[in-house]
Amino acid sequence: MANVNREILRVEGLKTHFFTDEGVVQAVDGVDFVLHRGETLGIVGESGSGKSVTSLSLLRLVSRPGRIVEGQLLFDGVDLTSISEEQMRAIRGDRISMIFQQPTTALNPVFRVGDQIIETLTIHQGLQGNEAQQRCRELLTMVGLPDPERRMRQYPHELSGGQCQRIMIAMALACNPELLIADEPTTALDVTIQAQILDLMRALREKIDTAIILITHDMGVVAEMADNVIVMYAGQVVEYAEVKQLFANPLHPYTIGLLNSMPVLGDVRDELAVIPGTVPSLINPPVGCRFAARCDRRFERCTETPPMVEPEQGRRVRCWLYR
Amino acid sequence: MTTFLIRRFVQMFFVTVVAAFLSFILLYLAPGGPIDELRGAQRQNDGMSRVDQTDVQRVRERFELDFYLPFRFSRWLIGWPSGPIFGAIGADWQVGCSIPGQVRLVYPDGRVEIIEEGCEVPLTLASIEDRRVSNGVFFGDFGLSQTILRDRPVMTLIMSRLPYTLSLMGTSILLSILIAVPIGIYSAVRQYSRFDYTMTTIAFIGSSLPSFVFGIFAILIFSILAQRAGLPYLPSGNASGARDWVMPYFGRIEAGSLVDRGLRFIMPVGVLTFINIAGWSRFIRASMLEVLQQDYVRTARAKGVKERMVIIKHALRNALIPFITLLAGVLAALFGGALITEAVFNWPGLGRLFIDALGRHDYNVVMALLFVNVVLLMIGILIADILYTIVDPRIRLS
Amino acid sequence: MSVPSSAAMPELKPARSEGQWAIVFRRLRRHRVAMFCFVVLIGMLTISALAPLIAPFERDEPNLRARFLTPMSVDNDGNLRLLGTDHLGRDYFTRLLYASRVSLGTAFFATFLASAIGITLGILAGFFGGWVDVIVSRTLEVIASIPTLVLLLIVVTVFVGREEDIPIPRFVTSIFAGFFAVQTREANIVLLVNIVLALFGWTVTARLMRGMAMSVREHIYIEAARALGASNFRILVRHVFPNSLPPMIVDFTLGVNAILLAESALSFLGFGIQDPTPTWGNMLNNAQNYMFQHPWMPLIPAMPILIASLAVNYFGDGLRDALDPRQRG
Repeated sequence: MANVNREILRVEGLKTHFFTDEGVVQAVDGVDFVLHRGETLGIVGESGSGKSVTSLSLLRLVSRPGRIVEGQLLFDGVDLTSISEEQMRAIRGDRISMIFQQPTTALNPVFRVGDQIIETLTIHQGLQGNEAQQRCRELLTMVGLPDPERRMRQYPHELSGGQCQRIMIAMALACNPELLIADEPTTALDVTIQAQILDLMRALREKIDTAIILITHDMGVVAEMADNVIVMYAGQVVEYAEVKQLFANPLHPYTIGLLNSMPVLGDVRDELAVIPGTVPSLINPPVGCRFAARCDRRFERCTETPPMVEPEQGRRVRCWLYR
Repeated sequence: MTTFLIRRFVQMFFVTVVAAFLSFILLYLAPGGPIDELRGAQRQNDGMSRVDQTDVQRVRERFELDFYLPFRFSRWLIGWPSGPIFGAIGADWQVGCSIPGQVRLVYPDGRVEIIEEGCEVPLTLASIEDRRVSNGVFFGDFGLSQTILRDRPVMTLIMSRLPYTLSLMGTSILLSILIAVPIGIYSAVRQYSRFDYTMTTIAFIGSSLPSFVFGIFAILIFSILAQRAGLPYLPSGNASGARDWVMPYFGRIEAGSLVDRGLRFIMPVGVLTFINIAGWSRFIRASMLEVLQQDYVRTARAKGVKERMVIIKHALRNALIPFITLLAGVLAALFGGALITEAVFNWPGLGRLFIDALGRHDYNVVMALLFVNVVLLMIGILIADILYTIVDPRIRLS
Repeated sequence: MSVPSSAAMPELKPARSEGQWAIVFRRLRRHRVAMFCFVVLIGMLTISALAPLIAPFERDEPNLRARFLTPMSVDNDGNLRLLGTDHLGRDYFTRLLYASRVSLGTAFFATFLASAIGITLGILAGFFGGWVDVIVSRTLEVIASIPTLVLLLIVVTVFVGREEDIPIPRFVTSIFAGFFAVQTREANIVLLVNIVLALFGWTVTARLMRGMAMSVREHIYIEAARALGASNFRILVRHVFPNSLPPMIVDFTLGVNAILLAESALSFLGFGIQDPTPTWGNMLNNAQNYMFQHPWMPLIPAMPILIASLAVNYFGDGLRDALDPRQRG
């Protein structure tokens, strides 16, 4: 990983809100992070914490009534929020690509999978005919699908979930993207298939040196895959750390809760800890620390908005305990 | 595929026969049948309420009322029985009743009523040998018209009206698709825009209102009021005029000329098209909105597909799949015509013919039109099912 | 043919509590157009209920010296004819009031009948399956194979004109004569048209209900109820029916509109309820013959058809939004 220090993505103050009839849902409310080439960044949090919206914001694919209201997305030095739709489109699928949670529904049911991969190649590399077919076969082999010739002619419904996800990965990697966003890539799959897909992603990462943003609610996946981790809660980043540090010494009470709720093999505990309560409404988020209501270590100060602090080098946490 | 087709054909066959049989029974059980009409006509002519027995006999024969119902139906359907089998077998088998027995009932209060009971002269296979019989609708022979075009083949009558219905329905269906699909797509893509609001409101009103009200309003505005105001107006009623007429600012228009016909064509086509567009654009919009939320549309965008292609290629292809169901009825509509619209504009198509035939008890015509309609509807549904498998690879015929 | 089950079926939840109905009413109240249409509908129903009281003239009283009077004119006896008179000099306003009783009465009564048939058969077919389902489904198929209007036309032609022969007990006729504000001898045909409309109008409801019942049957809480020893009947009444209620209510409003228009269309074509019993449809049919000389005539029966149809539809639309479980708030 020679390029570790070269920055590919810098997100600053990202706010994505949804303007619904009931009010403004502040789904992402001030997210900052930096990603380097070849780095894998895990984003974890419960459902509703804003991690998926964050990833869609990066591609400017948030659909109505959602909108990026604030912030900068510096991709290779260019602010993605300020370029034209056409420029953005040229980046999607080429320099930044994405794979989704439900591989079976993410593929268009009426087109052959081969054609769906080739479409990407045609759009961004102008490949057509035999050339495109050839490249498509290579990609399918690369993601470990035997008999690519036959696969290309199949329709999504003829493939299993795991096979569909491999197709999605092939499609995402078709143009050697500099950034791959994987939104819960294994959640919808069987456990054994999950492991295979993770293995595949790890192997490919070594091979093509792409920066990856891995979104998941599964701490185990993070532990296996990520270099650095962002923990999100109620639309905000609450903790950022290198993965080993995070597991060894979690700082934010929410992170601690998340880790305690994770079953550990061979570790016999009386019961799994559960974080009481649910994610607060993002229409009128609570004043002060958003986690305060569920936090077992809250004190008076928690009614004020906690700032992001850096208690040690390369670690950041949004909690009054470390002030 | 083959087994599917065979099963479907058998199914279609049964549904058609059952539907035809039920309609047949209904029509011929009708109390207001031909004999009543005859009695009524006589009463009007000479004030006499007694109808000659031979008159009744003649009418019964003419409308085949002397056959028992199942035989009457099978003669209509397949032209059988038409005489003794192989010319010899069953010559004396009874298939109906020529002259029913009559019983005089004398009530205690002195009232006398004659009711039919039993059979005096049976109708046997031998006695029907000389009767004219159609080849049966299954072999394309719909028999003879009974009242509208006396003793002329129903087929002639239908063929003379078919061009009017085909041109009316064909034009309006084609126009409707060409206009409704883009409106539906655009409304969905620009959901909640001013265009969408306007279109959904118009479509909502259009699809909830009856066509005869639209037709009458159209005639009121474009024919009557325009004419009264001395403006150029659209003539209403019939497919071509009987007399030459003068259009303000344009001059004389010859009856039956292309211009005359064209002008008379506008309103019925317009009304039908408007109503179709209203319904179909709503349908396409709903279907498109559903599809635009699907994951694969997001995937297409994430791949960098141009927005126009996302909509035309990835979304529309899927959104049009359910539209096939609506189009299944188009074939039947093409030949069935639009009953109400044709009635409002006095358009001489098959729909108008159906209403006339019903009103004048020309049941051979009614049954023919009904039969053709049911068969075409069945074929339409079959075509739709086959189209589904072509358009949607997930669907298999089995 | 197998169509992959997509998101077509609304999500089912165990029987709704009172709180959820309160939410529905709250949402409905917020839907201003729907509320306005509801008020319009109630107004029309009230007027039709009071028709005999409001009507200024005898319904069928002809006045050959006062034919084709335009609205707001005064006849030679010095009476104001609010909406004019028809081709026989009968008071248009009076006839319109009585017509609203027949037309709206039919729309609601026939829909009620049709829904009752459709719900019963649909639930039975969907819940029990087997031969019950086969019979109901085949019947649906045959009825669906003939265009509804064609079918209605045939059946009505067959019976209209001979309604005296239809054996309906006298007391039933009297009740319906009262309900539709028509004379007893006219009630037979009105009732007949109602029955015919219902007999061929239940298919959509039955199909919907069958689907609902089938999917409810698959649900866990039905299993649970069965495990607790609930009888089939009890499951039907306590679980299947309440769960199917929201779409049924929407279906009912759509049915009212469909039947209103079907009755109007039949009468308009001259096949349904016959003059002198007034309905909006046959008034429009009569008016059509004189519209070239008296263009105002068709407007008067057409307006209530337009208004009633739009009001029912918009109200139904609002209701559908309010009942949609996917919407929150």
